[in-house]
Amino acid sequence: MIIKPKVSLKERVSGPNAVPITQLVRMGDEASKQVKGAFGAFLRERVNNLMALLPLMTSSNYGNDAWSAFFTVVRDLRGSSALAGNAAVNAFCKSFEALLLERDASDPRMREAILAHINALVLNVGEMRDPESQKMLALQLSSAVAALKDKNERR
Amino acid sequence: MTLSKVDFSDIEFLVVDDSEFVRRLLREILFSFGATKVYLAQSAEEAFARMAITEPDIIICDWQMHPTDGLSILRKIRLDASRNVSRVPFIMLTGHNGADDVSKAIGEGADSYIVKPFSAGTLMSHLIKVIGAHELKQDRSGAWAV
Repeated sequence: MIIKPKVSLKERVSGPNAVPITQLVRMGDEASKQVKGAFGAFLRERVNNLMALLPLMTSSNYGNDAWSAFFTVVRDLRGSSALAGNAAVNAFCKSFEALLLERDASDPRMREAILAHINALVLNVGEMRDPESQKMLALQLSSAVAALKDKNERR
Repeated sequence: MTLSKVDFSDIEFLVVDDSEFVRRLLREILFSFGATKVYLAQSAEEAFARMAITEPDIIICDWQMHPTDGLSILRKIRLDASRNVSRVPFIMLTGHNGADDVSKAIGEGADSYIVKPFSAGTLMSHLIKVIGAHELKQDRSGAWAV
């Protein structure tokens, strides 16, 4: 067994090259702004991913790789939008997740509901910024999701 | 002693989040803070594979991940008392801000808890907090028994 002195984290960050925290936070804010400013491009890329996966998803192969990959993209968008401060996309994605997780894929309205959610995201890519319209759209999507059959309902 | 200046160049960060955007954001903020060793993992599996190679100094981990969430990762780390990584400062990142959620994370051994969205300033204050609280368990000689 080797016993040796160990330096604390506090000591390790307190070296001669330490920079004032206020300065670092300013730099961090700038970096954050740049990354968040690129959320639109990220959203566009993810919407393209969803469109590419959609033809591979049918009610009979629910749960297969395409459905899993689709869900992963929606989940990613939900988390990312929260961080980017995009409340509208976040609301659409929460509704989208509920649709994918809780609703019966064999419901004939499922595909239409999926497309409605993708369209809502596309509108944001196109920078639909009116908060009232976005709020209305989020409510409409939630209603559409609620109207679909619950996957756990007995037939 | 309160820190007013820091040098993160020697500190190894492990960022665990299944969102590419979040990983990107955290990486860029940490780089702007002067960090040079920022490792990214998009799953529990990748995180543990990384930890098998090198033990991070600080872990920032998202709670809501699928299939293995951040809480499960935290539990597994804290339970592995055979390695120093069981004591590594762990910051939980989440979109939930309920008091019950905070208690649960802290109760499982998280050192701090950040609710999304967060600013660079918030991240920095949590880093300073966990660094300040990180204590060495030392024997009488002041050495660390391995």
